[in-house]
Parts: sequence; C-alpha cells; structure tokens
Amino acid sequence: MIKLNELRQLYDHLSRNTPRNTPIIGLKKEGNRYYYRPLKSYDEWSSDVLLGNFSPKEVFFPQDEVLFYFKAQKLIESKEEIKPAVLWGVRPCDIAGIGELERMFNQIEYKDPYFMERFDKTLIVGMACTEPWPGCFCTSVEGSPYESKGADIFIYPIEDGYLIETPSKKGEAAIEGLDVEEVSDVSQLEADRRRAEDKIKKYNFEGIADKLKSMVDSNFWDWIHNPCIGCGTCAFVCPSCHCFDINDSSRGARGLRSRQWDSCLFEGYTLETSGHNPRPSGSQRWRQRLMHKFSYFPQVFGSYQCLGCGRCGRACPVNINIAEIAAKAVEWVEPQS
Amino acid sequence: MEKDPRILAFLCNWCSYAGADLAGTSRIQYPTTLRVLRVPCSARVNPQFILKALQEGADGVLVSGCHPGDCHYLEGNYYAHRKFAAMRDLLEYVGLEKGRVRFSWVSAAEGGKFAEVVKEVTDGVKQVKDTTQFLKKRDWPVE
Amino acid sequence: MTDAIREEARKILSDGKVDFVIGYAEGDTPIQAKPVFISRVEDVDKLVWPSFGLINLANYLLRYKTRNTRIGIVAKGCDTRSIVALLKENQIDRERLFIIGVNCPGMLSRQVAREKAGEIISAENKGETWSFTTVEGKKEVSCFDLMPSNCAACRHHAPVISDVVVGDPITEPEGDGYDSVREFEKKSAPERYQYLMSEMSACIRCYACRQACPTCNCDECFVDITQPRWVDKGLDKTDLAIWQLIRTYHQAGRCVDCGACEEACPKGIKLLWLTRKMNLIVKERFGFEAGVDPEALPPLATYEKDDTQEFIL
Ligand code: SF4
Ligand code: SF4
Ligand code: SF4
Ligand code: SF4
Ligand code: SF4
Repeated sequence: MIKLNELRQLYDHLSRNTPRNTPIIGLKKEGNRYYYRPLKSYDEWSSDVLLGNFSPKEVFFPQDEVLFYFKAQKLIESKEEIKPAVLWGVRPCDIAGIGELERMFNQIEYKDPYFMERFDKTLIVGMACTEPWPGCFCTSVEGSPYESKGADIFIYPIEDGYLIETPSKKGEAAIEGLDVEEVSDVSQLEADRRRAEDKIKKYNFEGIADKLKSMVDSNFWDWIHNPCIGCGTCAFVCPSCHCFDINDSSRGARGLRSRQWDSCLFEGYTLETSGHNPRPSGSQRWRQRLMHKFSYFPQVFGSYQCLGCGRCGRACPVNINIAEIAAKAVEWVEPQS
Repeated sequence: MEKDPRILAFLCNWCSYAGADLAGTSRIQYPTTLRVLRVPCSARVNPQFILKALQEGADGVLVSGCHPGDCHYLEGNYYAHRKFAAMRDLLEYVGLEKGRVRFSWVSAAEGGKFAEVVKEVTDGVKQVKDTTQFLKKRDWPVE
Repeated sequence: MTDAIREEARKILSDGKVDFVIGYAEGDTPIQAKPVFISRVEDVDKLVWPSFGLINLANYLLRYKTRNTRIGIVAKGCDTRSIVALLKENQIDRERLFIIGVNCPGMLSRQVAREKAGEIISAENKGETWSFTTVEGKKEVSCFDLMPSNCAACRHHAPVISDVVVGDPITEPEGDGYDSVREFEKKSAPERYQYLMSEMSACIRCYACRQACPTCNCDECFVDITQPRWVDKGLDKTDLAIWQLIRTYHQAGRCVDCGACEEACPKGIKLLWLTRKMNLIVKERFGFEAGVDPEALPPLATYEKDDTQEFIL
C-alpha cells in the first residue's frame, strides 16, 4: 500500500497516464441529483457524496443502447467505439454490484459483448466509506464499507491522507510511476473498518435463500407488495438489476435494434404476445424481485444480488425498503388457516 | 423556408375530402403541398397523430372536417374540436412554432374554400423558421 | 389529525363497514410517508397524518375495480377529487367506499426538500421548520418553503366527497391558483420550448409518474403499445416529448393537480408545468375542473354547440 497526502495526486496521475481523452467518471451533481458522469476536473467531483442517486451501472450498461443497425437483411455493426475509461471513487457496494453484473453478463455459454467490452476497458477506482449513510446495509449482505474486492485501485481515507491499495494487476500497472512512499503498517485500517461497520444497521438474513424457496405460495406476498405502485424506480437505480428489453425501431427497410432497462415490477414485463401474463399481480411481481435477489441468485451464483446500497429504499416513492422486507421474510411464520 | 413545404392533411371522408375532390375537378389552382390522408371523420384524428407527423418530418399538419352541424356522424366534429382545442393550446404553450398545426372545416361543396385553406396553411408553414423543430433525428450509419 | 383519523378508522373497522383502510404510516427513511393497508383494529395506530404524503391514495382503489372489497380510504382534498374523477369513469363503486375525508392543510415535498437543502441524509422536524443533514452540511428549511407547487396552487383543501370529514375547515386562498402558469406563459415561445423540452428530455421512461397517477389507469398505455409502435423505445428527445405531451393531454379534465407524479419522478422532472397548464386550458375553454362536480360530464366526452372555434379556418 502507498500513502498519499492528497487524492488529487492520484487523479492527476491517472489522467496523465491514460490514453488521451480517457474519461474519468465520477459523481457529479446535475440538477439536484448526483450521477456518475465524466469529470472535467478533480474539482468537479462531489467527493462528499457517498452514493449517486443512480448507480454506476450505466457506465457499463447504459439505459438505452444500440446493439446494431440493419438494412433489410444486412446487419451493420453499431458504430460507437468503446474507449477505455476510469470509474472514480465508487463505493464497495457499487463495486460488488458491478461484479454481480459481470457474473450475469460473462457466463461460459453466454457472453454479452457490449457489457464485457466496457467492463474490460474500465479501471475501477474504489473508495472506502468512512461515514456510511443511514440506509446502508452492506454488512448484512456479506459486504463491508472497507471491502476492496473487485476494485483495481482502492482508496482508504485516513486521518492525515489516503492509503492506496491495488487489488488487481491492472490497478498496480496504473499507479506505476506515482512517486510516493510505501507504507507497511496498515493496522489502523482494521479499527477504521470496525468503526464504520458499527455504524451500519444490521439485518438478519440468515438462511433466507432456503426460507424464500419454501415461501412460493406463502400469504406473505399478499401484503408486502401493497404500497408498491409498480413504478420500477427501484430497479432503475439498483447497481445490480440487469434486466433489459430489446426493441426494434425501423423506417422502411432500415432500422436499429436497441435495448433498454426493464423492471420485473412492471406489469408488462412478463406479458406474453398472446395476452397471457404469468405474473398478473403485484404480489407475484414483488415475490420475483425478492426471490431473485435473495434466493435464485444465491442458489445459482452463491451470492446475494442485493449489495445493500439502500438506493431503492431512498428512491421509492412509497418508501418500500427491501431490507425490511427481506428481514420480515426471514421471520415470517405462515399463519395456520 | 425556401422549398415547398410538405404538409400532412387529415381530411374527413364526407366533407373535406370531397371538397378537395371538387377543387380538383373544378380545376382550381392551389399549392401542391398537401399529402392527403383520408379519415372517416375528423374525430378519428387522435392528437397523437399530429405529433407523430411532426416527428416523422411533416413541415405542417392540417386537420379538416365538416362544418359544425354537418358531421356525417352527427357530432364527431364537435368532439374533435374540443380535442384539437386542448392540444393546440398545449402545443402553443410548449412553444412549438406557430403555424405548423392548423384546423379547418370544409364542406363537400366548398372547392374554392379548400383551395383557400391550402394556400393559407402553406403560406403559414412557409413563415415558420425551423420546421425541423420536432423532427426525430436518425443518424443511422449507411453501410 | 392523526388521532381523528385513527378514531374513524377504528370505528369503521370494528363495525365491519370495510375490509381494510388505506392510509398513511410513518416511513422508515426520513421525510417519507408509506401507504398502509390496515385490516385489523389492532393495527389502527399505525395510521398517521403525514407531513410528506403527496402520494395520492386514490390510486390504490383501481386494484379493487373488479373485486367486491369494501374499502376505507383516508383522502386529502385532491385525493377525493381523484375519486370523483374515477367514479365519473366508472372505475370504482361508490357503495364499496368509505371515505375518511381530510381538510388538508397541505403537504410537504421531498423533491422540494432536495431542491432547497440538497441530498438529504437525515431529517428532523422542529415544528415550523425541518432540520436536514445533507451532504453539504446542516440546513434548516421552514415548512412553508417545503410546500410543493400544487399545494400552493390548491383551491380545494376540503374533501369534495366523503363519508366523514376530519380536521378543521380551511379558508381557501384568494385567486385561482394559476398565477405561476400565467407568469410562465409570459416567457417567449423559444424560451418555453427550450425549458420544457429540456425537462422532458431528462426522462428515463420509468413511468413512475404514470404509476403514481390515479387517472393514468389505461389497461394498456399508448406508450407501451407495440402494434403499432406509436412511440419508439429509447431516449430520443422527440419520443420523450411525445410521451409527456400525450400523457398530459390524456389528463385533460382528469388531473386534479395532486402532485403525485412529480413527487414520484426519480429524475425530479417538473411535470406539473404541463399538467397544470392542461388544467387551465380545460378550465378556460370548457369551464371544467376535474373532480369538483360529481355530476358534470368529462370535458372531452361532451361538447357545447357554441364552443368558441376561433382557431378553425
Ligand atoms: S436492491 Fe436496493 S439496496 Fe439492494 S443493491 Fe439494489 S438498490 Fe441497492
Ligand atoms: S420503487 Fe417502490 S413503488 Fe416503485 S416499483 Fe419499486 S418498490 Fe414499487
Ligand atoms: S417519472 Fe419522471 S423519469 Fe419516470 S417516466 Fe415519468 S417523467 Fe420520466
Ligand atoms: S398516459 Fe394516457 S394512455 Fe398512458 S396510462 Fe396515462 S392516460 Fe392511459
Ligand atoms: S397527472 Fe399528476 S398531478 Fe395530475 S392527477 Fe395525475 S398524479 Fe396528480
């Protein structure tokens, strides 16, 4: 690990030592919300903001993305060239979210070239959360505000500067030439980690994957979804929700095929051409959301698909908090009818 | 605008379309700017069609039906009028350039009036500075 | 107010008049209320009269269109107007409803709080003001400054229909509430175009606005129709404008200016600039206000022979 007095040194180093015009994407205020956007300078970065209102997934998986163009039978590759980028100052939950997306889009049989190219070309600079927010619950889903896994470079703010770790070869290469001292004693980080973790509300999700598996026909779903208006905001802001819809747009023989984010809480999500909808009610749709994140994903990939960033709860217009619902599911006892 | 504008005209089958026909058979001269779409009644025109036309490249839109009281379906044009009134006020508020979306009543006997309407609407659209204001840009690669 | 609502809810639940009561509960994150469905008398104390309750509860009634449920509902002035609008369109049965109308003194808005204070981490009510901890530090904002534009423009604080009313009557302010729209209209057409198009083009098409709106209740919304595909998917700005403009147009004579759509929008788009103008158009042209007169026909479902037709050639 190395120590920096000012983070600007790292930023400047990265901007100098990456190919020309490599965007450094970090949290930036636009209107009255925070988004991950290319920064013009270090000073444009909203360093005090823990999480953007929207997640950094849009860097790898844009909301609206052209897959290819066509003219009659002929396919024309999308022109947009994917360039290297630096993702600056993302928090552990979001890094884990990007990791979940990668699992999804990078399977042995199915690889998503659009996602993967962006993913491979992006350098992820993570940052520990010294002051977690009230809605955070990463520690309940196997995360930690000090977890550097998944990052190429990871920043730990300390009292008199910053410790920089490089968990990946890519990160190591990126900081080469940064002229600073190596630090060997990093024991203080352990205490910092504990201090930050203690600030985070802890939920008990023990055994939830199996519990949910047994709850397919439970009455539980009848009431938890009640306030939900099916607006899909939660999926749009979530760092790991990855469902998309594919659409064609054409004029005469020419057109394009594109994909857009979708949400399992939309009524039209499962609507079939015949008019049949296998998930016609809000309760079934909410079951799907919770099951996917806390049961199917753990069963298939061995980890939760919710990283505890708490964005969905903050953004939801009717204040539905997925952590509370998951915790209630764990405690749920089926009423004897 | 310099070149002749392209105006999409929704003409009702029973009056305005017949009026246009009469203008033709009476050999009345009028600008060749309209692209006519025949509809059963002016009330068939969903205001969404108007926006769609502008988006797809029409320089102007004309909707024309029977005079009040003459609707083949008795009251279709009264309803249509309310819909258009609401939509046109909204478009004006949004700041869409004036003169691009017009409405008229032309009966089957009014070949002369039809020609006048086309002249007036064409002149109006010609005054518009930028008819690409609501155009959907499709910069699709060629090959 | 909270006590009075609980009292009424308790009564109708214990008398078996309704199967459940839809109302507001305290949310688990700051400055948010959460809609609740209370079916047992024991749970009545969850109900509160919230400060940030812009969600229009009439929205939930649509779920019970075809079921024989008897529903109690806590309804603000605007919510009752939405109920009237829904009744007019035969979306719900009056007999199955028990309306606990509230003389609503006005709500506060999360969107406005975010505009005034910044990204809020925690919040605390101090009577006349709210104290926010934001990413930029502590800020105090008075309740008055947290009021959304729709509550400031509201002239129907009292329930339009109800089975019982709680809260003290409120004197309606002067004027018709449309001054802000008239002021906005003084801007030049290009300025208005620029502003409204830039608002609309920030949309990400999550449709939270539609989902939050009781009168946006079509079985299949025009924007979801694929045969024919009226509005392409994606984020082209004319497509986004068509989505917003047609939605606004569909609200003609139905929008009650409850502000639920704007409050729900995750992008903070100023949707009420459009819908409120539509309300003004309907009022000036057709003398109609949504949800105020239960007998009046919806303005686009009727006509007058002498409607002014000044714009027709
Ligand atoms: S489900 Fe909610 S808390 Fe979990 S990762 Fe997604 S947005 Fe964050
Ligand atoms: S954000 Fe809230 S209301 Fe919207 S779909 Fe998600 S849970 Fe439902
Ligand atoms: S809620 Fe906002 S972002 Fe979502 S569709 Fe409506 S206007 Fe667009
Ligand atoms: S926008 Fe129009 S079509 Fe869509 S739900 Fe609302 S009223 Fe219906
Ligand atoms: S359009 Fe918006 S303000 Fe109007 S009734 Fe619907 S939710 Fe309320």
